[in-house]
Amino acid sequence: MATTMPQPGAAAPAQNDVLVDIRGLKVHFPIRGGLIGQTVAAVKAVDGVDLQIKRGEVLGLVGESGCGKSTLGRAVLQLIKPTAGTVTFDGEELTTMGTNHLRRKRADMQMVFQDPYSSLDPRFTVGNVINEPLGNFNYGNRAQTDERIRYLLRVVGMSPNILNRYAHEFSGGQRQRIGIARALALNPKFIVADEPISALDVSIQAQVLNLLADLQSEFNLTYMFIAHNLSAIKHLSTRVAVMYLGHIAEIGPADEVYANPQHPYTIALLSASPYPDPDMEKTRKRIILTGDVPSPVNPPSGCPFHTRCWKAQAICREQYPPLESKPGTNVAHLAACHFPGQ
Amino acid sequence: MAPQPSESQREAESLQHMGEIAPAAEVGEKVGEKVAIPDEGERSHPTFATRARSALRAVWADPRLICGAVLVALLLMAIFAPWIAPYPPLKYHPTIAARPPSLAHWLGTDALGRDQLSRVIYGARISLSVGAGAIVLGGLVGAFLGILGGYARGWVDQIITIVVDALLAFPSLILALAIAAALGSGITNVVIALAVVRIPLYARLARGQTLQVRALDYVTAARAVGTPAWRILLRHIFPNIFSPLLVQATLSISFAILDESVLSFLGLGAQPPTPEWGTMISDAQPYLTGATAPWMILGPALAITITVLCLNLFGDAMRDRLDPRTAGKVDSASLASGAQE
Repeated sequence: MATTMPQPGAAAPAQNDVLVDIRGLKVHFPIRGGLIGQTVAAVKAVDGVDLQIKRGEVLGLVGESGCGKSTLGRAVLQLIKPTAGTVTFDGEELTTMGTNHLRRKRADMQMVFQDPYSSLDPRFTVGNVINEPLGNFNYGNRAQTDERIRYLLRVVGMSPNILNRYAHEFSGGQRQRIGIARALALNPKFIVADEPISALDVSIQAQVLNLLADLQSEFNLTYMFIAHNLSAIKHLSTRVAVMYLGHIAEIGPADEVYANPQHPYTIALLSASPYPDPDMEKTRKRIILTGDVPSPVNPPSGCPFHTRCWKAQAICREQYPPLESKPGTNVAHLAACHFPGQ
Repeated sequence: MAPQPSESQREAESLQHMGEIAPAAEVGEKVGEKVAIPDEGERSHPTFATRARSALRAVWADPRLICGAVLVALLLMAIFAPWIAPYPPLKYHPTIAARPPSLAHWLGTDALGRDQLSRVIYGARISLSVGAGAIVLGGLVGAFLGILGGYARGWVDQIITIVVDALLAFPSLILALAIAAALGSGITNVVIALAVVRIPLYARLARGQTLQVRALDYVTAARAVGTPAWRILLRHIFPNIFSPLLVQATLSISFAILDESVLSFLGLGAQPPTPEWGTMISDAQPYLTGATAPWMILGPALAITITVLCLNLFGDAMRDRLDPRTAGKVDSASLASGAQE
């Protein structure tokens, strides 16, 4: 069961320091079955997440496929309706907000999608794509809008002359830039980047990553940066959260988590990324997790990771470990494990 | 148009018209050949010349588009029937009944001595307008219901699905018969009957397509940038499911035309003296079996065949071109720069 523990230790940040405050967030997708299509079970994609994102920070969210990180990202933006819990954005509660109010609020929170192919309407020209948010919020007259679109294209490193061309004429990296321009159009405060580079060629990944980093400092953006690979977000994130089966397994300042991982799952994830130095690489001890990720329909009792953990003991099967600061680590570094550390 | 000419003058005149009308749609395309080839600088401001040129190129690349010209010709034929038809379609000439095709009567005459060609030309009015009317009406209502159900889901979707499935449980022609019979005979009621039986087809197609499209990231992206639901339906969903609907529509206009003939044959559609392809075929039927006047069926049968064939081929060609992913040649700019996927 999810424990909604108050976060001990971590010096409670001043309220206006926190841009996004997620409390006890759950997203369960009903599985319908039977004769009359009643709900017979639920996929517990996000199962009780507490998370605070501070202004100006980049929170990296990692975890393997199916752990609920994308669902969490979408639920934060209310693109998927959460089953339970609250999301407070910039002091306003989003989960109970009316449709129109929420729609206006969307100007402040945007999303960059994983798949640059399906995230752009094939019938829209580049100009249409970037104009859509501007038009929704009555940005200005035609000339002003046009100027804004050209500016945004320059900002993301594209030529403003492509306005009348269709998205399918561009490569994945270019399309992703167009998607980023769309997300920036309304001057948002917060951007959820849902694996923005994982669908791109390796040679393009760094470019887009650098672009996102540049934009973050230039426009003072706050990111929730979702990835399935710790090394990809290493140089971008201020803090890193590791997610496993709908729960936060570990969260803390990026350097801390990388240098001193507490949760066995984080340790295993980190051991999977190669070192750039060949000598170091030889000494790398890889931890290969056995077994599959358990089904989020029937998550394991206690700690959800115990089925694959080499340290698991009886208590792990019985009790969900609270997400708390562990001895010998930074107070802002929390892990949900009964037997933390190396 | 012209002062009442004598019979032979009218005929000669109409022949000229026919000769002109048939390739009429090509005239516009030929213009493109004569004009100067525009330079690259004109790309962003397409003139008539560049448009004509790219239209010509499109036809060259896909001859099926010629069917569009044939359909336009059929449409013009229907609109200008009074000026094109060599004889009044309703005038009896018992003395020349059931004549084979001749110079005076290209498609022969029917059992009452009426000119078959004139009747075929006038018949295009009813067949095309009933076919198009039924498809547009049924297509709009069906697409609206399907998109609504597919996007809204929940109880709205369930109710629409139940109604649509109930309609589908009837054989469409029987249902159309029942509706037309209940409403009474007449062209308008035939249009309504044929439209109603086509609603489920479009509703299901539109719903299935909507379910696919709404799950795509660009719809989520539209919501994320604050696009209201109605605008998402109008600007993202409808345009992206339009191609299959259009293909379905062009393909089923032909079925609507056939069904309409059946209803007319059964006395529910066009009333007897009115020239209509379906009734003409059923009128000709007795003369076909005895081989007494087999040509009598030629005109209406050819008219239906050409119309249906052209609708089908043109529908396919439109499908290929309307989808920017498969087209790649929609605007001349991308063709010129060779930017094709």
